[in-house]
Amino acid sequence: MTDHPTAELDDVVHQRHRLGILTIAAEAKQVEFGYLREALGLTAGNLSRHITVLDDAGLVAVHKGYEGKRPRTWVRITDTGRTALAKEMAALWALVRRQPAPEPAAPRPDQHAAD
Amino acid sequence: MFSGYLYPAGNPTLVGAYWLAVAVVGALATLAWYRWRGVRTGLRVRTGAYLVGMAAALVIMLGVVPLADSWSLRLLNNEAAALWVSAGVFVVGLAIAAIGRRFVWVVAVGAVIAVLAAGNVAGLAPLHGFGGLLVIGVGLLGLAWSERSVGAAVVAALFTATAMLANLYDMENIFSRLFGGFTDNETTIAFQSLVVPALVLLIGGVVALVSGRKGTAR
Repeated sequence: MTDHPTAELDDVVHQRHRLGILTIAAEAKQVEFGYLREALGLTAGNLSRHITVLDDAGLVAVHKGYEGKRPRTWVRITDTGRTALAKEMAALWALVRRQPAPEPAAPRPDQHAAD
Repeated sequence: MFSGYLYPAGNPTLVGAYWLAVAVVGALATLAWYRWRGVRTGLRVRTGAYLVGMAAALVIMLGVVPLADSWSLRLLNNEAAALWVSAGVFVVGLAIAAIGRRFVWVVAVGAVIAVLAAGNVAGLAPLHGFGGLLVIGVGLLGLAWSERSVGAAVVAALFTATAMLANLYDMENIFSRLFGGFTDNETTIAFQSLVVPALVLLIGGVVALVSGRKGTAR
């Protein structure tokens, strides 16, 4: 096992759509399927697949119910999910800290110095 | 704590009941609105910080202040030192709760220390009887935290600052300097104390409404 920060990245969490689901869910009490689909720009099938992966890993809990006659699926991050997300963020921070500070942006070719 | 000005204009019991009702009904209405918005938008915001903040502020104002009133004053026999010591104990309580946040019992011990110290600070401060404003201020700070909104935090901080001013400073002096004249009418003094925090809330609400509509229209 290497001590490079990337070794701490969890593939289940790190995938960008799943990371999106977890970060949105971590900021709210519960988040509805439609909200996630719109916020992340995913199709229903794609989102459903990612939620199933997270649910199987115990990172989110899914609750299905009705709001009036409309079926609703609510997603909530679990304690395990919160811990996994915090670990992922810590690994990303460690990775960022290893990089040299970004150089100031070079002026565009069409940009002339004011004289 | 809730019964209006130092020398209340109306029946102190009725005024106190009014502020208590405002705090409780306001909190319930806010929670109902958040629930309705959660269903409508698909994002249910955590309202725990708001609820705990409001409940803690109510308990401090109505329960702890009368009980814990001025323990540090009795201990130190100096009002300024007593105020600083209890403010320090409040910070220590919060620090204990923050540092030991992984353990529920440490958080509970820290919270009890902070609540007792806050009650003591409130007991020492010569509040003008607008404790209800401070309860609402704590609730607004909790809401800003839940929403992670800088705008809401600014309004909450401004409101709490003006609520402190209404409770600690004789606002009629400001009005007298600005508009001339001086009143000793309790109703006018109460109005002058309440109008500034009320305006902060109204203006903050209107700005939030307008910017929210602009955001939706975009």
